[in-house]
Amino acid sequence: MRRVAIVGAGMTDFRSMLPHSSPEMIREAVRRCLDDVGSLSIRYVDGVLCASAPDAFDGYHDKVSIANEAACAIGKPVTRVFVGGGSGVAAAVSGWYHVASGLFDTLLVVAWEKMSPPYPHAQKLFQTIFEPVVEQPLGPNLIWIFALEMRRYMEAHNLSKELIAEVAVKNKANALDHPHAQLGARITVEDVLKSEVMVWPVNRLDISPTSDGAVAVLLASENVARKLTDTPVWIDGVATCLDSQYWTNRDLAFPYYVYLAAQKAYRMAGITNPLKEVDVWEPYDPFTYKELHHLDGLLGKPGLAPRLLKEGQLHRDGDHPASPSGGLLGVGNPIAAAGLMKVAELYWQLSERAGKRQVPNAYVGVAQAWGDLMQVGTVVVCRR
Amino acid sequence: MGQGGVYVLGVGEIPPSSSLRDLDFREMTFEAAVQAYADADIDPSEVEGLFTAEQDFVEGISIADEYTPDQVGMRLKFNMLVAGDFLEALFHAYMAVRSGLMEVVAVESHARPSEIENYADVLRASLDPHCLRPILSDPYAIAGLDARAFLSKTGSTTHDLSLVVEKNLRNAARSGGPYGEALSAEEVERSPFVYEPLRRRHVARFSDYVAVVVLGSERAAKGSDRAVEIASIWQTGATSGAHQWMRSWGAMEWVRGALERVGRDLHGNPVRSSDLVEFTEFFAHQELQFLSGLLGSEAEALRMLRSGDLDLGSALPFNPSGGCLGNGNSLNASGGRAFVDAVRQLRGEAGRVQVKGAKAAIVGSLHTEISDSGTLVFLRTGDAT
Repeated sequence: MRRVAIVGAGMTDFRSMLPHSSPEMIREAVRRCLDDVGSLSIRYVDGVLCASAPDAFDGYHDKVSIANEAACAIGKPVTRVFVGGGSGVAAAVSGWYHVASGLFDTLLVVAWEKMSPPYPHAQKLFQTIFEPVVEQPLGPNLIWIFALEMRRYMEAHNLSKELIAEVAVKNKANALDHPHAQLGARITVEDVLKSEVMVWPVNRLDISPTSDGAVAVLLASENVARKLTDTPVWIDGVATCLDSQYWTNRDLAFPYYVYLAAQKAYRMAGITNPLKEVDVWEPYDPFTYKELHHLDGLLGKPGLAPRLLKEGQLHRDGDHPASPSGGLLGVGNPIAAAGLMKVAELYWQLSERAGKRQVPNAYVGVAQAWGDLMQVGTVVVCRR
Repeated sequence: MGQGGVYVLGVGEIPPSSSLRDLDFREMTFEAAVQAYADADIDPSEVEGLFTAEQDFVEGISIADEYTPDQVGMRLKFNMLVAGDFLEALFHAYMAVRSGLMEVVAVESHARPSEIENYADVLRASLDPHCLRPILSDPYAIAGLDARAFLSKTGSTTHDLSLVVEKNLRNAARSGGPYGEALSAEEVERSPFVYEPLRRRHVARFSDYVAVVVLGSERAAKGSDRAVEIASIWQTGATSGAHQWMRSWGAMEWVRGALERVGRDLHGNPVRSSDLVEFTEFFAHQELQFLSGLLGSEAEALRMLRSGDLDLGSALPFNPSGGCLGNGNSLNASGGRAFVDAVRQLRGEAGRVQVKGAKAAIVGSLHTEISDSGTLVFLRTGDAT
């Protein structure tokens, strides 16, 4: 297979009510990304791949038209992919096959989301992701179904809310070192438990915020990558896996689709024991329990992640650092951009440019995102 | 592994119809998938991933890929939604196979315009909300402007557009397309203006449709005497953003870029090697714009049309299926219909519209009816290489 590298990354601040339009956010992320590669001219970029979902946030049908000019992609190949919350990492997966196919030597991958404008709240738009005949009339929202999943996860592994709350404490503290973070903070487990109950057992501080933001990464073939940078980060494993739309028909205690995607990506990357071979994890953490739930899937061992958390091994200075960026809970959650932020974090970590967030001796990293109706897992394995 | 040839192993479809009221989209997709897998002589378990071309607002649901895996046997497999026309999803699927990531994949797109009550509003939402939406209650007015620019630039007339309609409806009457009929250019000219200079009959009517195509690597295609090779494919973006300020009116700039790339892959001019062209002409002038892009000459495109060189049995049959004018506008599935028709031509299975000895074909599709971006594919049979 043709090797594919990340050679640059850039992002906007993640904020609620960011005073930039979507095209402005995209332009800023792209500019920062190209500046990161020695002020590379867009002329040297063969094509652009966009990710953003759903269309309703921007109020645009076919919103690739927002991005083509903002990303300076006029006259270049430009397409858009999305798989709900999994879109950011899916874009890296798709970007990988663009370059690995031999059709592209350089590809700009751009993800953005503008969640602030929907009134009264983005959550209202999420109702439109549900099945329209049976589910939508019940007026569900995402917090309801995640509360069901969190409850099931707690039950399956006899987990306390106190333990799960430690994910928020850890990630928000990590985010204090991220220059673009929305919600970096020093909080306590008690703060999480005392925050407003949204839908039991989910409290407000168990949830990532709604955010605006954009991220761009530049991918390149091996030959080009070595000319552009001394510190390419290789994407050595990619996979996505989509489960049935019937989310009510599966055991919510374990994300089997994440497990299957991870296994494929590991096989491709030659990883046989992820717990030993992966140095840094960026699992998708829109809710506190999801970091643990997804890590269980990535590790292939139900209930292992909470034990690692309890032992302090998921902290940045632990043996298995998870979300050293601060994750969605700390940096913010502009859906598609949040997933690509995790890929960018791997790039910064594995090229030893993560500053205060740097995990020592990070050679192999895994980023993962999740979405649709709790049904898709998207995974990339990166190597220094 | 990777970077080898990519082949069409099987195709399935629910033929275009003005309204498929007896089937919901899941049933349509299921039936097309069953056909495609049978056509490829494979079990669904052998298909490793799915690429779909869908748009949220057209589906009437957000994050529409949630609803695709079950009915095509793709649960717990690779999935990627590409927000555009079928050929854009095909572009992604082609790269995934060529990269070595997967050996066998499916590509799906469906459209139910008969169930969309406010399509003009949906399409209008693709335009800039400040400058264009307030002044364009019907976004097809953009096609009217584009047609006007084309006529003005080339010195052609609406009669030329009507000749396109006459040809495509005639072809569709033979192929079984839902809007096929014998209609003279003069009769087309008598239909009222809707987006001047476009008359009602210059505009494709809607049709419900679904296509499922199975692609495979060279290894997966080995032994098949029906596999059609995707020799090259390229997509090119628009000349302008949602505001259309910088749009290159009256021409399809994207065709030139895509053609150059396909030509480079083939080490030759794909148009000279092609036995037919299938293209998603949502409006009559778009067929001439696309052909002008392929030939690099608007005058030559018009000459071929006027002299009948685009008819069945001529030098370069263009839309022998009847195109979108004869088969309908199936929104983002339109490219799938054109692609399936071209594959059947190359297999010699096109029935009454069969182009004799067809061994190579160009297939093109627009991103949407009013966009100036698109995808170009060059298909050929084994003995055309």
